Amino acid sequence: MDFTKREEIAELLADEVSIILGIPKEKVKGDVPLNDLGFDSLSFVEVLVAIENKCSILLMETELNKNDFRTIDALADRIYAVKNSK
Amino acid sequence: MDWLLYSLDYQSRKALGIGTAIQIALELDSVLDAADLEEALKHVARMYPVLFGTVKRDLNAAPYWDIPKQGDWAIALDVSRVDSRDDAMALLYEDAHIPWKHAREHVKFHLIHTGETSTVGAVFDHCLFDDRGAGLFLDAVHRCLSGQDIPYGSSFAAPPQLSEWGDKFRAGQKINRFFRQLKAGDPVLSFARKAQTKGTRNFFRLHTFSHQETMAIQRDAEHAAGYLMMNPYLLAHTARVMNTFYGSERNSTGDMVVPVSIDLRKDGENEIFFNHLSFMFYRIKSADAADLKNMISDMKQQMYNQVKQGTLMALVKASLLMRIAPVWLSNAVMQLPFAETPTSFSFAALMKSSYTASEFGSNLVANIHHLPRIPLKPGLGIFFTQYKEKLTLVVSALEDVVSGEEVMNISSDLVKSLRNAS
Repeated sequence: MDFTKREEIAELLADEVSIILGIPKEKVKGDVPLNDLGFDSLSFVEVLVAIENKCSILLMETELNKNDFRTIDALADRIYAVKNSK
Repeated sequence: MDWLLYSLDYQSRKALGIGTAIQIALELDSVLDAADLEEALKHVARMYPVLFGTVKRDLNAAPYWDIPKQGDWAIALDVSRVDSRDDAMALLYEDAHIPWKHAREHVKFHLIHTGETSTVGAVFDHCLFDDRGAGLFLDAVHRCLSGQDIPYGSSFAAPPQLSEWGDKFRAGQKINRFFRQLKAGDPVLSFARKAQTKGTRNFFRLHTFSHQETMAIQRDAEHAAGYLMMNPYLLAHTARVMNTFYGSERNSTGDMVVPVSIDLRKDGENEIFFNHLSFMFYRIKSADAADLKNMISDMKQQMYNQVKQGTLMALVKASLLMRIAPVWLSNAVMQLPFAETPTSFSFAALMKSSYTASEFGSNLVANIHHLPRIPLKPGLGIFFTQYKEKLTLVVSALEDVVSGEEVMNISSDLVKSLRNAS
C-alpha cells in the first residue's frame, strides 16, 4: 500500500497507535486528544518514526506545529498533506 | 533487561553491601490499622510465591527464577510510632539502607504512625521490581486491604531468551557503536567516586509542587518544548542546573551524558514483577547547557534518532547476551561499554504514577513519594513523579559523590528554575 489516500493514512495511524500504546484499535478514535489516549514524548516519537518508515516521508523535517498533534484526525490530515506535497 | 539490572545489583552489593532498590512511601490522611495491613500482606504472600524466588542456574547455565514450592514465607512488616513527618521520613531513609535478611527477601514494609496519620513505606528489590511494578504491587496490597480479589501467581513467565544469538550479537554491536559515538569528542562531566566502600549511604531531597505549580509547569513545558514534551522539558531544566553545579561547585565544564530510564510496558500492561526498563542516553553539549531552547531542540532530535535506530530495543536484546555468562563474568562484560562512558547524572520522569487509587485500603492517600536508591554509576539521580496532578522532585546521591548540602542546593535550584520559567 502506498498510503496516498487520507483514509489509508488514518487507518495506518490508528494501527500504529494501537500497537505502540498497547490499546485496542477500537479505542483509537480520531477526535480524541493524543494525551487522553496515553501518549508521552517517547510513544509520540515512536508513532512518528513508524509513519515515516511506512509512508517514506520525513515528518520531523517538516514544519509540524502544535495543532497537528492534537488528535489522530489532525495528524492524519498533516501526514496526508506532507505525503501529497512531495 | 533483567539480567543487566541483576548485574548492576551485583556490583552494588559487592561495592556497597546493599543492592539497588526502590522505596515508595504512601502518606495517608488517617491511621491505618497494623493488623489489617499484616493480614493483607499475608494474603499477597500466599498469592505471589514469586516474591520469594531467587536466581539460580540450570545445568546448561541458563538462569532462572527459582520459586519455592512450599514454606512459611512472609513479607516483613515493622510498625513504629514517631512524633513528626520528618521523623517518619528519617525512619524510611534508614530502612532503605538495611540489607535484605536473606536471598529470598525482595520486599519489606514499614507502617509508621504520626499522630492521627500513617505513612506506609515499602522497599522493593530492583531485581524483582521496577518503579512501575512496585506501584502495581502496592495496588495489589490495596485491593487485598479493600477486600477485593487478586489473581493467584502472575503472568511473569518469560521465555529464557536463549535462542537467536546472532540477532543479540548484532544488537550488541549496535549498542557498542552507539556508546562509541556517545563518548566521542570532548570529555564528559562526571563525579569522581572517592571510595566504594561497604556502608556508603545516599542523601535524598524531596519536593512536591502544588497543584497550581504543576499546572503552570505543564503549560510552560507545552509552550517551550511542544505538546507531550514534558520529559525533555524537565530534563533540560535539570541539565541547566547541573551544568551550573558542575561549573560552580566542581569548577569543571564540558558536555554532559545522561542516562534516562524508560518503561517499556504498554499502557494496558500491568505486569508487576521483573524489570521492563530500557535507557535512552542524551549527550548535552556544553555550549547549549545554558540555553533551554537549544537544549530541548537537540534532545528531541536525539530521542528521534535513538527511536529511529532502534537503540532502546537493541539495549534490551544486548543485555540478554549476559545470560550466557555467570554474573561475575557478565559484570565484567557489561562494564565494558558502561565503564568507558562517563555519565553526569541519571534521570527519570514518570508522569503517571502506576499507583492510581485515591485510597490505600479505606485511608485516603495524601501523596506518594518514589525514593530510588542510586545505582553505582553515576551516583547522582534526579527523578520526577506525578500523582493526583502534583509533581514531585527527588534528588538522590551517594554520600561520597556530593554532600547533603549540595543535594539540597541542587534541589532548590531546580525548584526555582521550574517555578520561574514562565
